[in-house]
Amino acid sequence: MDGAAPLSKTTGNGEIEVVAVTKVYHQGAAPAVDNLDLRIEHGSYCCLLGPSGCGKTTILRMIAGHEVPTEGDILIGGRNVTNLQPVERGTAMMFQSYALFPHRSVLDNVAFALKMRGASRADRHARARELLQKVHLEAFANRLPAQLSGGQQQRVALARALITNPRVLLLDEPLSALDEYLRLQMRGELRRVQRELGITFIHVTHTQLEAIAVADTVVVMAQGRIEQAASARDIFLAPRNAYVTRFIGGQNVLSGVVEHVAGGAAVAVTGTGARIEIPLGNAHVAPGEQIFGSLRRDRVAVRRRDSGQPAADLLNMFAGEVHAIENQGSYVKMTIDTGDGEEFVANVLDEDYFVDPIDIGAPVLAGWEPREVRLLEDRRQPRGAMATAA
Amino acid sequence: MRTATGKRPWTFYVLAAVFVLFVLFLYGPMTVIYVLSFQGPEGGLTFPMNGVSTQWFHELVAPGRSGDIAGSFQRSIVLAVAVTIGTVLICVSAGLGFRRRFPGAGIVFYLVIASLVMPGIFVGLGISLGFQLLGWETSWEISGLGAQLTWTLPFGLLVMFAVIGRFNRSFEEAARDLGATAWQRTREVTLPILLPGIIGVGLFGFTLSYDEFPRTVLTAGSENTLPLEIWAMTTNVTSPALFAVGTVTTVISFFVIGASLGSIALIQRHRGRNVRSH
Amino acid sequence: MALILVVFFGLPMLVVVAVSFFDFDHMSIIPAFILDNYQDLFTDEVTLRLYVSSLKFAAIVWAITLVIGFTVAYFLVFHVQSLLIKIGLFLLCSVPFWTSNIIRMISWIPFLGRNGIFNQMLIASHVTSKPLEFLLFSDFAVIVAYVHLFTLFMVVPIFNSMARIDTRLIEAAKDAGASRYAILREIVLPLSKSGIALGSIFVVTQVMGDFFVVKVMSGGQSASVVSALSNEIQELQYPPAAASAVILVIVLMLMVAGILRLVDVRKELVA
Repeated sequence: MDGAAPLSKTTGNGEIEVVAVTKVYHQGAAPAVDNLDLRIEHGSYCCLLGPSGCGKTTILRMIAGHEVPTEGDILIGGRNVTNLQPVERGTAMMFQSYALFPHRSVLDNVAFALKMRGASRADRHARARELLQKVHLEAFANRLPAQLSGGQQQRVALARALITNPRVLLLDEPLSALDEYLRLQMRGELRRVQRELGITFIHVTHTQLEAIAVADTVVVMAQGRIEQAASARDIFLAPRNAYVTRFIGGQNVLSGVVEHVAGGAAVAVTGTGARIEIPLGNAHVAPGEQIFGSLRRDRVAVRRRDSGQPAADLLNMFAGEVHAIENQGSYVKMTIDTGDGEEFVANVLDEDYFVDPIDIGAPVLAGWEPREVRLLEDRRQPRGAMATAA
Repeated sequence: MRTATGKRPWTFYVLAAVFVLFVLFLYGPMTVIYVLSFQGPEGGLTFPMNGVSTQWFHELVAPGRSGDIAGSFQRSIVLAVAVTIGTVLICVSAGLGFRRRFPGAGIVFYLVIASLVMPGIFVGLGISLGFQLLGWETSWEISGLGAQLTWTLPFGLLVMFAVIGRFNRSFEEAARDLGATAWQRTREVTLPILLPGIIGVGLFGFTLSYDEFPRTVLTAGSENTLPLEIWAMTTNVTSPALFAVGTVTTVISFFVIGASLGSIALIQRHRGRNVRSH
Repeated sequence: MALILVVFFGLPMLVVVAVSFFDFDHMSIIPAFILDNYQDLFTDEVTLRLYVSSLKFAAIVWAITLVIGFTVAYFLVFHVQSLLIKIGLFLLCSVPFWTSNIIRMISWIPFLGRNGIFNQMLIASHVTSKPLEFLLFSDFAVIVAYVHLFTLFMVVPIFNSMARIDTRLIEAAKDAGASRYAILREIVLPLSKSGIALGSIFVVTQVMGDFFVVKVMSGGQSASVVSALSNEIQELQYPPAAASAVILVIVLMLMVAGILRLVDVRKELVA
């Protein structure tokens, strides 16, 4: 961090490989983690993203060594650590509740790991003070954790974890206990520390915007499996399937039954009878299949329509009624009821909206350029067969 | 509860009055004894007071006249300390052990509850009969100790359950993450954080043992503990010396309670934690 | 822990059961397997009278301690605002129970006696002209002593249950227009059931299992099952005492099981 000398870079490879790991808690119950493979590059900031129960915290704890995989292996820096104790792995964990020892001063908390290794009092206190300096908390060295604010406690937890020079730092929902303002601040701090140290960070969260903001790699998970692992940019621009699209947000999911294929794009009929064109790229689809596409909400244009205008014969356009209007500052979020069941949202720039504000209940047309639609991997066969996610 | 205007409802005053009556009910008779223990040399077992003196307190220390107060007092204290140590050691380790599901946990749990609910005299009866059948003598050091433990261990265990229930396991995990061995974890983190609860267990152990009667009456052997001595006095002694004993023993109890609760309060305050209601 | 409990509790219990089947003469007990002891108990009408007497005490004391305990707990949980005062008052009620039962019991003697404080107060305030005889060495005294000794066993579990009630439930009820009485009936009472059950178990087993309170406070006039039992023990008549003990334990177990059937207290015990 700024001010004092930079935190020393750690030697040692912090590359992580999760190989075919499964975790089952109870016989007969669904696995918490299901045959999962993941590779995280050394020195990258990786976010595990997903709803509660998707397995992200379980993976984190298995990498830390606080849970043992039922099957599979975990390698850190090329070494198989599956059966090693947490302290032998070169990892350090920051707990969701910080878990600062309430009966010890801040200084003793930070110095704890060194005390466990038998360092002398003078040595470990000196080293702890150094770290407290980096997080700007040296004035609080003799206070008890209960006397610190949430943000300060988190910085102490960070210092405590870093004192052992780990090559991997594991963070379990580190920002969820903070209020909104602090959360945004600490995001930047975490990012800066990671860059300065050059070690691998694995950060578990359920907040999509947070993941995109800090991570090099985002891993979207559901029910013990990885739905997509890609850079933050790619997750947003090129989500793989409808689940990731909906989870990441900022996108609409379109679907329709293929009518015919022409000029590298499929023409599909939606539930409302409108037609949509979806560029196929190298994929092949057959008529009668139901296909899905993602469309960014900020690429949708909205204008009024006469209620008399027929809704059919529309191409790359939906007719509907405005269901909700939400001012988001630099843009206005318009939710449109297309009669389809699926939520359809347009993010309209504020200057465009306020020229002629459209109210709730007004009939509108929402349209877009076909090249903005990206084909998703989901397919549904005709005649009500099970959906397949490729 | 307050009404919308912020004033207390009339029921508050009624309930407060009931509460005050209750406290008076609890403390009233005891204060009568405290006062009467200062009864004058010619006074009897009830009012009016014939002067004020500490004669009856002196009688306690002089052996013979009012029974063996000093001796039984000593035995009670020693026994209570032994029971306290035993209870704390056993209940703390058992409480921590119960966190994992071990085979037979259910049985132990029911044994504990049964021991709590069983009338003490039956336990005493069982133990004394058992000893008799084996040809052993009952004595306060062995059979008495065991009998009292059957009473204190369940209470201690319940306290540990309550305290451990509130204990956040992530403290131990954080310690493990930072390199602590199991023993280091227990010594540096678990026990210090649980300390107020452990003091509570000790308090239960001491006071339950010190005042224990039904279980001890059949298992103490030939030498009495203080409660047994008092019981004998109720039939033999017809002087306020009995009240003097009551006053002294109550003062000691208050002292122990005060010391324990005081230290718990100090620890809580030092750690900056707000005292939570149950 | 299991070891200690088994050795000093489990085994002795088995011993009692075994001895209950033994024969005896005026000198010692003779290991045997006879049902005479049980037979005597079941045919002797004294047994029935003793049980009726004990159950009577238990029922009355249970009712009184329930009312007092509930009221005190309710007051502390809902009417006392400051947490510090709440705990302070709670301690105030609890501390007497940490002192000797016997002392507290006999402290009633100078209080209730013919020349005791209470009578003197009554006479001084002209409520009566003669001292009330029934105050001491009577069933009344026994009940007063029981209530004095055991009310805390009711207060603590009920206090625990009540304190756990989410205050937002009460606010929601108030919002919907419930009167304080309705809140008590619809929310507080049902949610305190496990505390009430636990307290009831404690009080009933303590009363049914007591022998010294009833002896002293009734001046020997009333008896309970266990006081009769203690007499037998003093006369070294162990087998019938053991048989009596076994039967009482079975009765107690049935009562406890009955209460537990009505209310599940497990969540109270494992916090």
